[in-house]
Amino acid sequence: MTGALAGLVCFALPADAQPIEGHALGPSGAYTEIRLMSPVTGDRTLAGVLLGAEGNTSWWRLELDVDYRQGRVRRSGPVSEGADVRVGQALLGVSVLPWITVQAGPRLLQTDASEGHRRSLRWQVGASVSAPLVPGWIHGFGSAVGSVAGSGLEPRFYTGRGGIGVGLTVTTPGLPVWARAGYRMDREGGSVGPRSVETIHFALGVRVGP
Amino acid sequence: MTRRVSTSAAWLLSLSLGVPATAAAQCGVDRVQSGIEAYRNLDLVLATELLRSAAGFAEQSSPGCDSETARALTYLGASYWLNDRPDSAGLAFERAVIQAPRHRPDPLEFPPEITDLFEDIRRITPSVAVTVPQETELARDDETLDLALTASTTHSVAVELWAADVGSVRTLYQGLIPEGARATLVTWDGRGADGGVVESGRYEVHVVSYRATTAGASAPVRKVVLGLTVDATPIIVAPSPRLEAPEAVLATASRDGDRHGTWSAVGSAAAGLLGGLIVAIPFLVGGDSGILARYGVAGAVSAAGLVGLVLRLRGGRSSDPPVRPEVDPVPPHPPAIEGQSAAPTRPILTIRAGQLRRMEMDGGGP
Repeated sequence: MTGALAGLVCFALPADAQPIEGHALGPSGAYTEIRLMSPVTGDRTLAGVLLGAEGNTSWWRLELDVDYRQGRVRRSGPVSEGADVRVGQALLGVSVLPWITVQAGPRLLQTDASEGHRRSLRWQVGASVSAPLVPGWIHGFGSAVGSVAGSGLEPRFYTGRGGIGVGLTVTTPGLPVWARAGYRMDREGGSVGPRSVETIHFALGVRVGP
Repeated sequence: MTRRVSTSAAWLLSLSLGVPATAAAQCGVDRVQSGIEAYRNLDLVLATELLRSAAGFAEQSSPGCDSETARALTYLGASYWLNDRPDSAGLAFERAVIQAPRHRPDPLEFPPEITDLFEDIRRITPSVAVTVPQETELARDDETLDLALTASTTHSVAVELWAADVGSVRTLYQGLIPEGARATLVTWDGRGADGGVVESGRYEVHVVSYRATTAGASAPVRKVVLGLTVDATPIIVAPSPRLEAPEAVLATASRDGDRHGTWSAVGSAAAGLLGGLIVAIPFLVGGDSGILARYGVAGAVSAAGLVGLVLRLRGGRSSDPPVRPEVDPVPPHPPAIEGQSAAPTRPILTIRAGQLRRMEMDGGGP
């Protein structure tokens, strides 16, 4: 169960592709709410704050994004359930058009729960599009990602991993800070029935560097 | 800027493979060639019919067929001449000169009588060809839109900038332009008569050709009208010792290549309204009601798109390059330096050439 939960947490965390001009490194945080809807186990909601850091570098059309976050997600209610989550990823992206980026890379997930310590590695492929909504201040984005291979912790009962998401990023011209809000839904199918994971993602970051 | 040029180059490269065949068909090259073959076979009756039809077809086609039209009309005039119809030949040559002021008959193809008649017609037919880049960007005060004017014969012209709902905005040039292959360059710095940078909108460049009358005055005989679309984008650059010139910031900001034109006001709103897709995702993917908090994100995205629409329609914001999703966005300019305030610079003008029209004016005739 925890393995399945950890696997779903992996998809609940949005693919943080953060290419910028030049280089940047900074802290980031996210509030993640995971809702598991299953006709077998019923609806469960786990939520938690994940903190970490992220960095990226870009050159011409190539972008490399690296990020890491950790925290604990818990289930509210009379039955206590939770897991310590550590997730890190590296995405290499190619901007095929000014507003479309194709990305791929590994995502490492480690969970520590009462059932034990588990680790999984997934290879992700995805694409993202972006558009300025309020030029200079707010940009909208949409993304789609899926796992094409994996090892380690594999929720064997689940297949068809993939997710789509949309959101917006708010910047402040002249200040190296940004805020992001996004929504993402991942769906999995399996022998125990389909499961959907929804994530409301909030992040606040600071850019450091030229 | 580099990415934008690379993208444009890729599209041009992909399109160039089909352009020659497409352009030839549009200009009726086959028809013209058939008429020329009949002319060379001295089947003058057939040549006249074919070339008259080809010239009419090419004239009604896109302005890019001017050279083909002039070629057809030249052979048509030669056919008329050989058919002992000098007046019709003169009219055909006049039309050829008007269509393509730089066109000259091939002396190896036509006898001296025909080339001499063409030259006589050309000298008394003032006409101008206007050449301008398809798209020009004016970011600095020393940058200009360059209009290359080529005249059929030396004559007086007046080049004026007109706005769609205002009328004449500014006179760019008034004076003589010489005949010949060398073009006269008329420049426009993007400013109106009051010295201020023009606003976004539709403009026209009117090039009026004058002929000298027997009374010693000048009368307008024909006019070339070139449509322009101007997109003015204001930009603010904060001074920074790490930047050598504002161009560095502009080059950086435009590296994603989508700074102008692509994301219109409607596109901004559409992108924002698509945020409403957030609401529908659970129904589309999972068939479930979904987390209620997503309505807040959806509303924020849609509201941002609508705000962007209003701001773009008011023309009050700069067009920054699109930021990739979930991006640590880079402001288009570096952080403000303590003690210094951001200094506004001139708007960036993107000027796109539109349709070119020719028209005769009342001053034509003897």
